[in-house]
Amino acid sequence: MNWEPLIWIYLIAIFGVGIFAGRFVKDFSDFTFGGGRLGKLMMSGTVIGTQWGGVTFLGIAGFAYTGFYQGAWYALGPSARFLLWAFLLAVVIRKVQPFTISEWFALRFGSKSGVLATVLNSIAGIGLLGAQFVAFGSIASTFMGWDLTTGILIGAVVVIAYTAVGGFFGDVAIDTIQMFFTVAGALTVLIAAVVKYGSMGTIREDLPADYFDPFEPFGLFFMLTIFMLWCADLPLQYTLQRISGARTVKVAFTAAVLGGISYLLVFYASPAIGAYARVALPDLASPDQAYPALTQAILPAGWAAFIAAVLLAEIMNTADSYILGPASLLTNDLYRVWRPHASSKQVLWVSRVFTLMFGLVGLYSALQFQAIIDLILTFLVIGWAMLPAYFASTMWRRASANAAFASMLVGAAINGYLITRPPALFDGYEPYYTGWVGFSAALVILVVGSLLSPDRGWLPDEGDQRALAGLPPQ
Amino acid sequence: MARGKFAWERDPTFEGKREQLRRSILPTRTGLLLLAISVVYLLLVFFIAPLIIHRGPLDIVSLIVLIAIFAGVAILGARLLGITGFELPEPTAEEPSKEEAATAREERPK
Repeated sequence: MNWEPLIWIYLIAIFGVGIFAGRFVKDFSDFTFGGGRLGKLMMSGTVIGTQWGGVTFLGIAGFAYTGFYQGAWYALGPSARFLLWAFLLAVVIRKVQPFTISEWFALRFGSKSGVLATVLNSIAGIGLLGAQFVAFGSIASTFMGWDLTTGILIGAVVVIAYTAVGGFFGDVAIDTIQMFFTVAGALTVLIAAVVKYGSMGTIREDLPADYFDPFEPFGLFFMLTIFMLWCADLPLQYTLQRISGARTVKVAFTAAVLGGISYLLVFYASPAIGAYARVALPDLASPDQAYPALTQAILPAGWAAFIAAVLLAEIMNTADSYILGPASLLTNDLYRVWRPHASSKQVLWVSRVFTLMFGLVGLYSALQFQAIIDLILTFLVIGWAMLPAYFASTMWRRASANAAFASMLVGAAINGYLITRPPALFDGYEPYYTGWVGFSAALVILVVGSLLSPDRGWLPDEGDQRALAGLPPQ
Repeated sequence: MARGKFAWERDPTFEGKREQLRRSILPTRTGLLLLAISVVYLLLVFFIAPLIIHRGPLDIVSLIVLIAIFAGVAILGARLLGITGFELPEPTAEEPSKEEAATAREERPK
């Protein structure tokens, strides 16, 4: 029996939810962060659902197909990164509730830094978006026999169309539904693999000893690098959107903590799926196919088609967040400068046009790279260089506007240059390891520059001290 | 009406947000402590996980151990941030309670 129609029915249903949610979008505020009205379930659903995309299920299983702990460390990084989200960002940012990441940087470091944040966000987001299109193409090519390029093209068309209609509400609604189906799908594959091939303890004997070496290829250095690259998407618009969209500070904090726990489940399941794929299908053309190919090999055709549909939809709704973020920024920071008196409806329509344009840029990058992890990590080194200024914005009053601007600009420029031309010092390492250079430069510039000329206006006065001590204002 | 080139500069709530940010920035020592706790968690898991994960029939126990470590760290961080028990501070004298706000809404002329 041909189960391909099931995949299409599922995708059309998801598309329908997006269009239905689009009815609740009345203005640009609803389109970008749902007007700040999301409760605990929806907020946790969208935080987790957005993060669980092509990288989480295909990329981590693919890494683990090569070496178990490459996948395992890739899955553990986000659990610590969610702690930083909860501790250093959720509470402070939700109290302020900025509209966009550029507004946040403008509030803390001035409009110059706000504009720079828009530019860097748009560049860093290209890789994240393009990787989702590649992941869509990988699954479609495994289950439907399309070639990768066709799969990428169709994935891009579907995602761009329904993001432009649904906006943030559509994104959130689908994230939450998908979260449950995705967990069920991954556990089904894992349980079927255990039944067929035995426990992980059993398959250890079938794989080479160095496959389970936690220090291969670079052990702790690899894990810390991956952790930093996971942190590199914290300064992106979609993260801030989710913090500002929370109904309360408590919701913003709790959603991030649940996000961290969700990655412990991923740590448990995704690398194991990669290991079972290595045993069952040792000659895969691309590690990215480990999860879909194992699913197809061990589950009945109907089940496998359902899981393929869930995976495709998961990738769709991750990709839409990555389009929506930069589209919101470009609308708010470019169009609204050019047309300051545009009506709310005009702004909404322009944001939909930017959604289309950014989606096409992501599609171009996907067709150029055609590899999930390479594509994401190449662009994320830009976000990595923003981290010192971003964390300083919530916890260091002495951080100055000029130092923060120079830190982001120089750090991103260094990383952008080195990722395309890695120096001999990094021979034998993947290009993304060069991100440490730009990050270190950004950190030094921020600290030294701020100590030499701190912004006195941010140092605490009596009112701040009362607020920090939890006392009401006088 | 606020003036400026960028949307945020024209937003009448911009200065209010900046004042809120001024009051909300974490003490640097607390921020560094939270940063250190997150990194220590990462290192702890790096060395513990290979000893316990996917070691036969006790697989699920290893997952529970990791979640327990994470939850412990999250609760510690929440306390440092002053949101013990995941609750917000009680409303101050200037802010109406939920009940008072609801009553005020009902009494407002339609």
